[in-house]
Amino acid sequence: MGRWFSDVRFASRLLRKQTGFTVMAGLALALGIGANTALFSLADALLFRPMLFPDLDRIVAVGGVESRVSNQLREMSVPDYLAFREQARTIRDLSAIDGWDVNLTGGGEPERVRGVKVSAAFFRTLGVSPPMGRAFLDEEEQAGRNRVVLISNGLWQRRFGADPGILRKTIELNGEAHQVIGVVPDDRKHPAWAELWAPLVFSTAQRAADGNFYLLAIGRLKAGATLPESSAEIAAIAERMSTQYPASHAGLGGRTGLLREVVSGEETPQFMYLLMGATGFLLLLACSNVANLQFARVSARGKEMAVRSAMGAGRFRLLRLLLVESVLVALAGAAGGVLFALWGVDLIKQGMPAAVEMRLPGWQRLGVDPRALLFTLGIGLAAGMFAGISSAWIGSRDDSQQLLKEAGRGATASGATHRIRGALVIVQIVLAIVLLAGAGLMIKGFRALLEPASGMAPAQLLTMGLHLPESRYADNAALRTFTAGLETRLDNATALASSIPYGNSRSSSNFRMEHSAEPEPGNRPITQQDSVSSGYFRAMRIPILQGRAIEQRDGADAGRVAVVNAAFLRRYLPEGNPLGKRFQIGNNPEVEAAWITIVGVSADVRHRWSDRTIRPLAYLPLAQSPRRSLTLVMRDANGDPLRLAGKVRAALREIDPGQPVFEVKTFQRLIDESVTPLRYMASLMGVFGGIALVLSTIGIYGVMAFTVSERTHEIGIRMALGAARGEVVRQVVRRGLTLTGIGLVIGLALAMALTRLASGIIYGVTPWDLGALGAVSLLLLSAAGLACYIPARRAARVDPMNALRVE
Amino acid sequence: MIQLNGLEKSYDTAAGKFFVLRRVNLNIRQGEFVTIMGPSGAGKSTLLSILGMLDAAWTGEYFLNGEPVHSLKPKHRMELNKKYIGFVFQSYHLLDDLTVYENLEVPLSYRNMRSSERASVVCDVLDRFNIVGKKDLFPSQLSGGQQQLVAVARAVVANPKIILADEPTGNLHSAQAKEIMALFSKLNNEGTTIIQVTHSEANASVGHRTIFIRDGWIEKDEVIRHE
Repeated sequence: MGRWFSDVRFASRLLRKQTGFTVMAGLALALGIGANTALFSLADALLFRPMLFPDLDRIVAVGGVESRVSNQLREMSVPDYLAFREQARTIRDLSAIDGWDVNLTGGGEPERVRGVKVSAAFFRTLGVSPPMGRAFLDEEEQAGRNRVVLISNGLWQRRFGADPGILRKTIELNGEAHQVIGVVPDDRKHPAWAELWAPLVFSTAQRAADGNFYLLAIGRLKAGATLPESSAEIAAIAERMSTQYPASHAGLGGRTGLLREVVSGEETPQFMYLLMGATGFLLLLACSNVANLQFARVSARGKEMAVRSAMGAGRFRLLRLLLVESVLVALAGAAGGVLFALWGVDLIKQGMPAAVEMRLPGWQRLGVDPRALLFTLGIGLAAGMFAGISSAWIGSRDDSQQLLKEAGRGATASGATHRIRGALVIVQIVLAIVLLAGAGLMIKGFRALLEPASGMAPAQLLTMGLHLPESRYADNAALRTFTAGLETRLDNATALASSIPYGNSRSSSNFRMEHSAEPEPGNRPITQQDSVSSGYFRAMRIPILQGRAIEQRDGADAGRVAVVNAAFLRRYLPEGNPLGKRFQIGNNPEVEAAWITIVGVSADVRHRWSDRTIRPLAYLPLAQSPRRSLTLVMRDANGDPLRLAGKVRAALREIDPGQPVFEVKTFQRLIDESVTPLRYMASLMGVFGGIALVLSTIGIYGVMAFTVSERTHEIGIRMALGAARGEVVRQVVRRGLTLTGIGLVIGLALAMALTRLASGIIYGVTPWDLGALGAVSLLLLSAAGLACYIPARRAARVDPMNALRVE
Repeated sequence: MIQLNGLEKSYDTAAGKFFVLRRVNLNIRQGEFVTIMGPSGAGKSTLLSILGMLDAAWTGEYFLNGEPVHSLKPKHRMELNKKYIGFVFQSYHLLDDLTVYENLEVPLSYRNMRSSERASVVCDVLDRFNIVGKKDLFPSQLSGGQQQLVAVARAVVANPKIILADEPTGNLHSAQAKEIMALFSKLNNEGTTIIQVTHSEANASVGHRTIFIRDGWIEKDEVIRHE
């Protein structure tokens, strides 16, 4: 023990003395460990434990799948849900979920609140019993007994000032009274964004509507049942449903998935794995950096090791000494890593807009995860120790006698050590260029993605949400009266739409073009639809490429018209003049729907940043296809559009004082929030790329500085023999740039291969984007050039007399 | 104490085998003070390294106190080194980051001696060599002569039977060199076998026997008679 202590004491003293090495190695490890811990903590919160429900891995989501399109779970119809609930033997408490955004009125400003209607067993499925109040009773799943509601703790605090008597109160939702029966803790919510839960009751008509797909369902696996068994059972039931309802269910299947995987969606895991891959690379880079620094140290300490060996130290004792040093460096790095992780997680949390945060399950609980910290600490320690031991092992093979002989005149490292250190520099360059290329492509893609939106001058546009509840606006006539009233009160820079780009989801429908052949069932043409008012294209600045926009004259009694986007044309009307062509919306050819005439073609606008291609879209006049959920847009070309909100609210109060508006924000903010995940990706990749650049530059600098210091004697002789300073500089820089060049070639090949693999996540650019790859290569080459030049200049300043006097 | 039979060391070069030592046969008895002399590149330091078991790449037989070094594994050779050998180098080779006290402690720590015992031995040696006042200084704070004094103290601290000294006065001026040689003489009188490599006739004259090496061969082996 005493001997270990003596090694620790000596190692600490040495590390204190060699501040440069200790700081560089500790910083490299701290960056690697910190980035990995922060990322693993993020992954843990978003992917592995996004929710705190008991036995989370037994809670499943059940849904339909369009087997020919993807395996992603999609909504099911009420008959599907009832069939799954009755027939599935592997799942208990299968609960349906339906979105239910409501206007909360009474006792203050009307407010739009996001909620869901759920089966009575819902909270039993999740294993949640509200600490305040109760969950639903089975009998509350019946009409007449369903006017009860659970509210989130957040809503209770915000809207009701944490009123302890809330359970005895009724609240008005969409104009109807509901009794509050419980308060749900914020960390036990599902969906994460919900603030209200009410019982889901199916009408007779709904029970028969096989063609309306809008329900999601969750359940618990019964004891002994496995996920594959359950999925097979659901698929079998779905197949029977396809046979029973061929028109609506053609090509549809069903499956079971883990709820935590379903809520994470498709993109979050992809992003997280990409980022985790990047931080893994960063840790490797940090480790190779530390290894290289260790090699330099061990090489420089050849004399000390030889003397110790002559004094009787065995190889193990020498290794132990270096091991102790490595552990101390790794511990210092780990301590720094903890600080970086804490800071990093804090930074990640701060940058997330509240509107996006509430949609991310697990985000609220994001913090430095002790398991992640231990894991990366372990890796950091192992890496530091490996670097120390391997360099010591190779170093200890050097001939002691030779080292002792040469020590007086500055021994140089062995060929093997040089080769290994060169290889480590190449590894660092490879890792750095991969990270930089990833960051470069990601940032470029992100910018390319936002570019089209800039033409819409999004900062000048005000957007706000409206929902016209059935209780107050019973039919299309009432909806038309409301929208017409609003339009007459606001100026012509205002428009209404059922959805706007980067906003709500759009609905899709099958349609058929006039005079077209009858398509196969399940293979009908499909288009998205938006209902828009007459000023929409002007307010949004979406160019009309052919024909005209939706106009005031396209009223309820006028002939039905549509403006289609260019993608619609490319897909369904690639030839001929599209204007005047007619189509019919609907799924059932037996039912006679109105013919809609195409009167214009608009430019394409991306609806979601994650859209790979622009989908066909038909804009219908709002007066002809009224909608309850609307977005109001209003342009103010001269100032801050948010100041227009008051004007809109005043107009609304005149029409319906109980009508709330929600999500009042500029279009720019809407876009920013929508692209938050990608912005995070691009920013984090940028940070990782920057760290990689710094670490690899330190690596090259370390090697070149050491090479110069150990060759001072040789350089002195060369200069005494007449070598010019420029020649010395060139010689040193050449070696550094050769290593960099080899690393660049390998790294670029690897970067292109990896980018191809990750092309599902990196948007807007191709893996062969020579501009981006060239730019990052140039950046790395410049940094490497500088890292070589500084030691080279020092070499050129060597005074031959001083260098030779050492001998 | 030391017996070498047909010891050879060579390197493979492009031009063929290059011999550093050739058919070296040598007997050194306990308590002898032997000087190895010869021109640069003759193989003197190589022979010393082989005797100190710092060099393992040679052929022939080497018996140390009856133990066949040539057939021992590296671990056992290291054990023998610890038991019998103390080293003194021309460039002192003190560990720069350790104090005088710690430098003296290093060989003892490699011999698994307990901390309290180490302290006692080191204090004793500091006293014997008159360097108690310097025990907390670092090598860079000492003169060349003082550094070599510490190096000799370090060589004897583990009470070796043999001291191998490679040009121990090469970096010292004559007064300091005399001091070091007097110290060696004293240690030899106390029973320690000394084997030194030197170019200095004066230093050689302190010993009992001088071995001349040229081109790897032992050329001459002379006994020095002191009047």
